[in-house]
Amino acid sequence: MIDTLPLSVALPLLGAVAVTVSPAHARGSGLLAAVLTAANALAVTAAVWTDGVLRADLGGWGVPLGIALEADGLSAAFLAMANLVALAVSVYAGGYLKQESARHFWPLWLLLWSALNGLFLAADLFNLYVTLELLGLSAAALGALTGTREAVSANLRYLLVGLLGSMSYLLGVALVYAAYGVLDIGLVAEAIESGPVAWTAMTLMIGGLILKAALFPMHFWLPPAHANAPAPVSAALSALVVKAAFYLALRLWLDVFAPVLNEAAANLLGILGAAAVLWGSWRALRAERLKLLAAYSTVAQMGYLFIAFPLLAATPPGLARDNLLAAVVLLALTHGFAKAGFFLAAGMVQKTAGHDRIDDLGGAAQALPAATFAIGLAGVALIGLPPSGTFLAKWMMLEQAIILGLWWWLVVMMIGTLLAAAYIFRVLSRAFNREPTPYRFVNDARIELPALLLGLIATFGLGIAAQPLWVLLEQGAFG
Amino acid sequence: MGAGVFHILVGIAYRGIEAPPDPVPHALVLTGIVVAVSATALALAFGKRLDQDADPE
Repeated sequence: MIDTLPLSVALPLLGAVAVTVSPAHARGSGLLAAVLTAANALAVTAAVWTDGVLRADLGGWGVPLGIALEADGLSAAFLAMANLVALAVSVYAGGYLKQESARHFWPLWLLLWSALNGLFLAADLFNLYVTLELLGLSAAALGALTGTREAVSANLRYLLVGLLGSMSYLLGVALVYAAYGVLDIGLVAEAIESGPVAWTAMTLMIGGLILKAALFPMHFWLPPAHANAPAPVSAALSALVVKAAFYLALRLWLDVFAPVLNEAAANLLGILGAAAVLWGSWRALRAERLKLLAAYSTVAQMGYLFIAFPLLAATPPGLARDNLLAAVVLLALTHGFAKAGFFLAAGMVQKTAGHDRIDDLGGAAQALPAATFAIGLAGVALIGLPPSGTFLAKWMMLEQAIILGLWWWLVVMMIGTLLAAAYIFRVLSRAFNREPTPYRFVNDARIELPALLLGLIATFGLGIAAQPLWVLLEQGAFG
Repeated sequence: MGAGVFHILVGIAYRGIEAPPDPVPHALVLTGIVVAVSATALALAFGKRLDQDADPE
């Protein structure tokens, strides 16, 4: 079973080579690579589930020289989510993209997927930097696929911001290496001690990552970049790429910098998160276009994830902290599924109607029943209504906030939820306007099913069957 | 910024006059440079595209 780890990076990479060599069969071989990669990632998750933490030292080189891949519960949970979403996005893209753009889409998309899997599995700080850069490069290139002026300038900005973020991260890595002489996450965690070097390294690395995770006030690059990309790309960027930066911040926070943390840093992240929730939700409410709304909603949802840091820091180790951690992961996973479903459905609306202005959506519910239903399902998960995973996660975060007496986070989350309900219902109320519609009645299972399934998983799958996540996270993530 | 970070990494490799320098940071810098070059190429391609759009025939 040890071989499945390198395969999750190698399979999409091989697929990328295959689609570059024969662009005529790009769709077929791309889809094949997608199915194989996703199946392999699920096998990794299952193996972590049954056997505990997996580790593979590539080429037989051991610590500290070799390149190691490691999967614990946290990586496995994110890996499973990312690969399911990516598979859905691939199927959707197979039906959505025209021949011309598909030729450029597949190689970049499989590269991005490979980088994503590498990032979730990499076990040392420098390989994380490499995968982070690969992810940023392929994401920026994918985002600019439409070739419009807005898309290119938004993605140029995204690329430069991403570079700044990675350089800041790399400087942190350099400091860690200079101080401790190791890069493996486990070894660094053992060697690290509280002091100015560790603080500076932590600030640089986490700072670089929140730039990439688009935490307020560094979110300025996200809405234009995500809103102007083709629909499958927006879905992947919003659901997976920013989540990867968050995963890395969480991993560093929990595993590497645990001894040097203080409440001030956690509170700062929490305050930025709170600002992101309020500002992102407000802008989403005011957005004129469906995809812009979804992009601002991503800014807000990332805010919730960062509110968890002060709560985690204030909770003593034990069952309550484990539950809180699982709740945060659940929130991130649910948002991944829901936002991908939302963007895919928004893409269907845009393609059929020729635009995605929210005010002119009247009649969409009649013309595009599946897309509207998918938006509704994803909306349930984004607002956090029961039985979605978000509901469960927010409930546990609120409960912990009350127990700790940190009521201000509670207020922020409540307001954010209200605003989310407002912007989702704004879309749905327009869509259900009864008007004679100029649209065709669209029925294309290949692009409808992925969006619907993602919405369903977010709303029902992760809400009702959240228990397995706890079991999975017990493999090395709780402690 | 990139060049500065790479210089720091090279500086870290120094282990005294007698000892050979530590090879690991050099490997890191090499990888970093490759990544930085490809990122620059992509940024230049974007910039060129924007420039072409800016002045129509």
